[in-house]
Amino acid sequence: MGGMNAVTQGRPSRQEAQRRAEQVAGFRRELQELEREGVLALGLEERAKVERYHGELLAALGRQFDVDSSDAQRQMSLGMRIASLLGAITLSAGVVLFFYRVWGLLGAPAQVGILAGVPLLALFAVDLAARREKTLYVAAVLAALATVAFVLDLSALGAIFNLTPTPWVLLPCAVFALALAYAYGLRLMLAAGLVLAVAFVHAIMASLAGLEWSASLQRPEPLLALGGLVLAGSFTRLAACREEFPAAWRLVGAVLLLLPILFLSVWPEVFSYMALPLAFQTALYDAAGFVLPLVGIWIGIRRRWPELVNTSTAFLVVFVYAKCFDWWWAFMPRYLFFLALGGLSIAALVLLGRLRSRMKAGVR
Amino acid sequence: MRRIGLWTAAAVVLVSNLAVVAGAEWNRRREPEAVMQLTERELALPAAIAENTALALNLRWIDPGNWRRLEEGQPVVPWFDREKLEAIGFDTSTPLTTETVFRYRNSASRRTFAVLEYDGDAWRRLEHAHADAGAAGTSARSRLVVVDAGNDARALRRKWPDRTRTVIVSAVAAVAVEDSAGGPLVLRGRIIQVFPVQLNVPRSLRGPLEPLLQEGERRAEGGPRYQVTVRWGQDAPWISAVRRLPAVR
Repeated sequence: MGGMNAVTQGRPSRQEAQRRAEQVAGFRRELQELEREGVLALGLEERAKVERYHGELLAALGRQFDVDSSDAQRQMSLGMRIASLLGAITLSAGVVLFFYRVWGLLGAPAQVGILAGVPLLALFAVDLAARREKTLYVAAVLAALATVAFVLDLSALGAIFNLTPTPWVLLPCAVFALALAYAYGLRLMLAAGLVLAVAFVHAIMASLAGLEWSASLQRPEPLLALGGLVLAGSFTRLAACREEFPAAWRLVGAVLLLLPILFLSVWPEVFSYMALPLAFQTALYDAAGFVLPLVGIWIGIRRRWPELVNTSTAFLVVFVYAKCFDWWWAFMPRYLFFLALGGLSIAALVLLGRLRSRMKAGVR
Repeated sequence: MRRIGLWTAAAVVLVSNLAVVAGAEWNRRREPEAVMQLTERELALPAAIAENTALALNLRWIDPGNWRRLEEGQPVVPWFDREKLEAIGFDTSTPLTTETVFRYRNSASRRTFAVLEYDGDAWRRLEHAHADAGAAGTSARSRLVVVDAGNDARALRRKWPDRTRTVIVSAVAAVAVEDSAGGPLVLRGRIIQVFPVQLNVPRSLRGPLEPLLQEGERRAEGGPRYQVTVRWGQDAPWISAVRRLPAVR
């Protein structure tokens, strides 16, 4: 009973509960294999005790967290996640297009009332959905809709009153998304909120420097520091207060840190503030493009952070291909260029295969 | 956690909306920075979109710095020179050579203020220059011309005090390099954007413009079909009146 108490009573998250349910399913499958191969055979009394315990555990987890306890349920959940994402996109598009269709027929007070009312109504709907459905799929859709409605609210107010665009509009949008994320444990809202917050800081820094803030993304160098800050933030209590949030912080931080390096390395004259000599800068970003993702892969494997490993690996592949194009495309015959890329890919596969074998040997 | 997050999100919505509406109301109660009577040439109707019933007029303006030079040896915008660029905040310390042209042309644009003069000397000079060069007619062009730029709006207003002919607007400036054949490379500035891009037409003032939405784009020789009174507040402009103009024969 100790195990069941630990999961069902100690304020665990839905993710912990789902992992426990999958652990039970994995145990049952392995036990079947062991019995089939004659390695192990549980006595009737022991089998009954284990079955009873697992049955009660899964029932409790199902009641409290609505976890998936079978393969069919897990596949259904995946379908529900896809449906909720599509639902968020289409509902949001519908709201925006509906407003553009009717707003010319309304006076300013009615326009303002509807603009402010829709996100507030959506917030109420999010709370209602979260109370009734433990999986929070519908709540996530409505939260995305509320966020889009709020962004539309501020954008449309700017158009109604002929306001000059300002980076300060990003701040309430970021606070709104983060408030929803932390209220209901929504990772998509967390990612959106972090991106908006970083965009706000980036734009404000450009604005204070006198630059045109809306074009500040053309100079992504400040994102390197901001991405690093977000990565560092994944170790703080702000990220750790929900079990699934540190991974989201790491993912957003890694993307914000690595993606600008791709552009800065390949086109420094276009995307850089050119504070340093061009040759030095190019070498610096080239080195960062190779070293940082390797460090990310190493740390991700050691700490078992798959989001960091996957992001770093994906970036490294794209970066290597981009640099090869940058260095060789102009002077190599086309066939030789693609053969060289293919050879690089095979070399990478061999290297990763040897690394994997070493890790397996280490596990034994 | 849920209650705090929910109420925080709701408060953000309410406070943001209140702040914008209160700010707009305060802007309209204060003495306007400028009041102008603009026509269809300066505030053009947008293309009709079935899915969008909103009506906002496109603000059209001219920066001669964006035109090709019309007189040999004479820059079109003599005032937007290297000194003005430095005053706005652009770094022009690097010598201008063929190697550094790309760097200058790729400089990050900067937010500043621009002075738009309506139907003034700058417009008449451009009209004459076009006529002398045998270029196409200017009767359909906007008469709002950029005549100055700077980071201090008050200083610009002191220099351009006529509030019925000039308005100070938020704008975006960029570096341009003049490289006419055989001549030296010269650093110039130009205004690439002015805010706001569009002016919303309140529902109560749309009446005179509704029939024109069906008419479509006017022909250049027809003359402007409407006149719009625009009040430019300290923070934002707004349309206070719209009237049809008699057809020009």
